[in-house]
Amino acid sequence: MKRPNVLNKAGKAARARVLAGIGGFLAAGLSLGLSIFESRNPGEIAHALPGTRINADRWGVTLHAATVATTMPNGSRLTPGKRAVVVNLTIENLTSQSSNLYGEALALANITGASRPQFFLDRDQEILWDLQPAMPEEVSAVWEVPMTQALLASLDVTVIGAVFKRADNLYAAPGWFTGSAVAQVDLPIAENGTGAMTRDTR
Amino acid sequence: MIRFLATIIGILTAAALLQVFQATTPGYAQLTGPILTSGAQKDTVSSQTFSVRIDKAVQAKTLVLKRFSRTIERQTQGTWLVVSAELWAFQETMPLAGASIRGASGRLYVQTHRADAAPQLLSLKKVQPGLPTTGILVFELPEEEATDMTLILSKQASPRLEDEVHVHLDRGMIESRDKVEPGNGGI
Repeated sequence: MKRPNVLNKAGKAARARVLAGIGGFLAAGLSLGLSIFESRNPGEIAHALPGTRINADRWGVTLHAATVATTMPNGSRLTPGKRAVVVNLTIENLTSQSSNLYGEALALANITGASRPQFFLDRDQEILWDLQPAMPEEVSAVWEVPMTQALLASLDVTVIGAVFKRADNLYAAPGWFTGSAVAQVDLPIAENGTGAMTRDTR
Repeated sequence: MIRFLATIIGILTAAALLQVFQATTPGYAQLTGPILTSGAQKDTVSSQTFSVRIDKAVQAKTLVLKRFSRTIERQTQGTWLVVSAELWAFQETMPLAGASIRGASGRLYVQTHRADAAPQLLSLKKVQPGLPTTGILVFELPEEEATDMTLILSKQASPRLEDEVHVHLDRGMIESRDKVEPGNGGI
């Protein structure tokens, strides 16, 4: 009488384990599938007009105008075979600490092969180093673009947000991490020189 | 039945206790944070590895610099703060990579690179033990932050288990000028 009972018990335990295993794999598969689906179908990015302030979590960004130039704003030369796409913007550090990672907040959506942007402070045309908190500055962001790259009538600038984690996964230290795009701005590209005029009239 | 209840209560108590432990354990970043030493502007503030004495603190709207023997002026929408200080290292040669000002709101203003042309910058010097080193630090911050400032100095930019000296700046001891021109003899 005892033997089948033991077998029955062992069978039950095995079945429970198999079920738990299947459940776990199902959950993992579902989560993986969802994340793949989300990355393949990004949500619509909000469109913003030039001159409106965009809150990109870590940075407050207002894009004003875009121009094409043949030198850097401080007068230095460009890489041979390249021209510069200059975006005038106001940018504010909304965090509690000085930072120079504002380059991560902007990306050109309709230009391929652009360099990482260089930032210049409009007040004295010098390199913008750290952006100090609570001090919005008028700056020029410069991307070097190959001459062969055709430019459209307008520049699609994507403003990228950031995520603050009170405790990161590695050190449990607070920090900012790259987030998703928060807004897209269509900036009409003016020829060199007219960009400065657009700035005065804003 | 009683044994069953006792087991349940035991498990719940253990869970609650673990929750309390988890909530009250300081984070890794906090446990391996800097070792603080605080002091006032008029004093020499000494940590285990180095000490600081503030010589002068000047606030100005315009910073005058010489670059390639050409004089340039740098404006700010806030205010420049130039601090001249004397540093002693006790045990070994040390740079001064971490220098920032905590303003009235608690925001942290790291020393600015916009004054890199200035002479005698402490961030470009090394402090040798036994040789007191003087130099300046330049900060840029909004006026309203300048009402209550603390100078934070350390060997590394973000010190971990290393000394960090906090010097509270006394408003009455900060000079206010139109222009400040850091020279080889300080400010």
